[in-house]
Amino acid sequence: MAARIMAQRALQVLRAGQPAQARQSSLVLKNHWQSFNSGSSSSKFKDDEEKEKLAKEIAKDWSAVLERSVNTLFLTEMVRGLMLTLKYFFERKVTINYPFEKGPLSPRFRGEHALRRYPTGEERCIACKLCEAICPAQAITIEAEEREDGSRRTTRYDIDMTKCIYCGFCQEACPVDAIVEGPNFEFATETHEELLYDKEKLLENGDRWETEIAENLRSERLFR
Amino acid sequence: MVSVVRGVLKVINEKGVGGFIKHLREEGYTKCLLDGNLLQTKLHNIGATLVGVDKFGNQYYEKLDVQYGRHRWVEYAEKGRYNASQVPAEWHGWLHYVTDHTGDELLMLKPKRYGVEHRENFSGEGDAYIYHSKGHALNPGQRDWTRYQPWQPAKP
Repeated sequence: MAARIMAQRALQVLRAGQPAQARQSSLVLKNHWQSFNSGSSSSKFKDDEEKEKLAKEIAKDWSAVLERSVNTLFLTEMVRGLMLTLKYFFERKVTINYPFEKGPLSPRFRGEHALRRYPTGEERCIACKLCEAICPAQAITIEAEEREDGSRRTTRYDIDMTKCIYCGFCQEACPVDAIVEGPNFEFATETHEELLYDKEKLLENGDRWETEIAENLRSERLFR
Repeated sequence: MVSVVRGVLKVINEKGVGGFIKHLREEGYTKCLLDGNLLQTKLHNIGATLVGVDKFGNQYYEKLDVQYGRHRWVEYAEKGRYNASQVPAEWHGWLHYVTDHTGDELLMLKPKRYGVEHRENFSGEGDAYIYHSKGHALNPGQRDWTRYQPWQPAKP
C-alpha cells in the first residue's frame, strides 16, 4: 500500500517536469522498492521503472527534443484539430434542416390528444371514465351528466398536458376510440395555462387532425 | 445548372427585369441572403419534383436520389415567419414519412360533416390568438359555467 502511494507521488513529480527532483525521488524510490519488492505486485513497479528509463532515453535523444519543440512552437495539435473540423464541414450531414425537413414518425406515434367524433358529427366519448381510471399520472378529469336526449355525455373532460406522460393507456382503454393521441407534437406553448386542455379544445383537435388520425388507424387496422 | 439559368431567363423574358426582381422578392430569394436554412431549401429544390401544394400555398417536394431520410421537404408559403406547425393534417403524415399517400390523396379521408380549418401554433403571439380553457377570464364563452344552486329562503 505504502509503496503504491510512493510510486504515485514519484509519477506526479515526474509529470510536474522537475527532472532533478525526480531523479532524487526515484533514487529514494529504488531503495523503497528493494525493501518492498517481496510482494506479488512487483511486476507493476518494474513496468514503471522501465517507463521511467525509456522517458529518460527519449529526453536525451536530440531528434526527439527537436520534434517536441516543433510540436510546441508550430501548434501542430491545433492544426490537426482544425483539419478534423474542416473535414466534417465538407462531409455529408447527419442532421436535418428541421422546419423544412422533418424526422420520421410512426403511425402509432403518441402526441397531442384529441377527442374524435363519429362520421355523423356526434361525439364518441360516453364518459365511461376508463381513461381517467387508468391514467398513471392522473392527468384526466371527467364529469358526466345526462344530456337532454337521455344519452350519457361528459360535461367536463380536462387533460392536464403538463401532467401527461404520453403513455397511451387512455387510447388503449377507450372502448369507443374517442380519446386518441394524435400525430401532432408541435403544440409547445409559452405559458402553463395553455396546456390545460378542456373538452372544447380536445374536440377541436379531433376536428382538425381527423384526416391523419383516420389514415393512421386505417394503416394499423390489421394489428389492433 | 443549365436548367436554373434557363428558368431565370424564361422569367425575365416573361415579366421583364422589374417583374423578375418582384418575383425574387415574392419567392423569398432576398430572404435567403440572411436565412441559411431557406437558402439550403432553395438549393435543394433544384431538380426536385413538386409533389403538391396545400391550401395555404406550402409546396411539398420530393427527390429520391438525395440522402435517405432527407428526401421529402416543404417550402413554406410564409417565407419570413415560417413555423413547423403550419403543415396541415393531410400533409403532415406524408412529410413525416408516416405514410406514402400524399396530402391530396388523404383529403379523401377528411370528414364531410364536421371539421375545422387547420391553424398553426400561435403560442406567444398574444392573448387574441391562443386558446383559453373554460374558466379562464379571457374565454368569452365561459360566463355561464357556474353550476351552483342558490339558497332559497324558506317562506314563513
